[in-house]
Amino acid sequence: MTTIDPRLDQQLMAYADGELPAEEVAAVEARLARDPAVRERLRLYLETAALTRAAFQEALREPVPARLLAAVQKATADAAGEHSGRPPAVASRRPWRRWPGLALAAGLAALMVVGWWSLGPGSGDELNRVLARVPAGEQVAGIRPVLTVVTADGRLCRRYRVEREDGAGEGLACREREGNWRVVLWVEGLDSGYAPAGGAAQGPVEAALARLGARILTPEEERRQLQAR
Amino acid sequence: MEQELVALLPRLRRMARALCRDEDEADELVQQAVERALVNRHRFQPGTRLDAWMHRIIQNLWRDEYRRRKRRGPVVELEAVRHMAGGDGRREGEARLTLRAVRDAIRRLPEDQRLALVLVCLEGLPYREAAERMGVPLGTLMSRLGRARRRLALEVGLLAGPETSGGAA
Repeated sequence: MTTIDPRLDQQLMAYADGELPAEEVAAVEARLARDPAVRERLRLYLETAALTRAAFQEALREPVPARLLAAVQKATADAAGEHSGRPPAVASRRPWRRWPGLALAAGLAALMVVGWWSLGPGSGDELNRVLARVPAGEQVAGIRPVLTVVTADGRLCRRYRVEREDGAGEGLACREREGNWRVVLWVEGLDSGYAPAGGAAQGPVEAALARLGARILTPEEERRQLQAR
Repeated sequence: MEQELVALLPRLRRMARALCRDEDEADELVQQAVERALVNRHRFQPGTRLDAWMHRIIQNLWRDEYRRRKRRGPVVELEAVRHMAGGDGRREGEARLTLRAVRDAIRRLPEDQRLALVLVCLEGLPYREAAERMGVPLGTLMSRLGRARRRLALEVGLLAGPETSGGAA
């Protein structure tokens, strides 16, 4: 592992978290553009954040245990007894409801950061053509779309695998307004294989999909989406 | 407030799970936090954020009571995790790592580092706000957050550090 200067290291983490002061961004991006070790380091910060969210994501989907709900109700009743003169708070504003959207936008922005310099092989026009037309499961020019999703904020994204002379790996690309596909995540190498069936294994692509709140489209939905362009 | 609290429960449980040893303890912590919140409901300032208030209660309860309970847990599965990180390429470990291993690794982090990670990476707080919550300067928050992430990366095989490279695994 290459040693990273502590100050740069801290800047990279801040960059990954969207916390780097604007005036430092250009310098950090210049380092990123020319040094693979620095990019690898950024990936560490992006992925640990994504994994942390993914690891505890299920708590948001699981139903809250009845026991806990009952406790809230009981505590409310007790508290109401103590403060009987107070009207109950009205649930008129729910500021936290805005949070998931914000967090998601930030997540997508962070993923975007990875996209522009590490597009992987087959990026550009060829990738655009394949992602725009080829259904999941079929392979053209060594590029195989694996699945098509719609993210929670309504973006169409596709996961794909590339197996070519000039490289192999797995990517996630999202369609932009002009119809171009932008690679938001690229993981080099395919030798990793997949986790055993039924296992809870999750790689960076899964973590990204989970973070984006992606819903997998049926083949019919996918066809409609691809034709829509 | 009850309704709002119920709507918040999933997020409170998520935070508590990342801080606590296991799911049961996390629910216990959430329950206690809810009870404390309702008893002190007159202290909540309408118009401020209920989620931030609840997170603070959870954080304080955890600091005062729950983190001490942590002492007894033996460190298990570390070897298993390291093992996963071994093999020819890091990608191998990366692809196989399970979310379970990530959760375990987070729960093994030193408490200050874990809290920094939870506040920033899970709850999405800006650095400055996270530092305020922890009562530390910004630099301290960042160094804890960085250490937490490098250690996490090492344990789950994202990073080939001294402990996983050179055939040590």
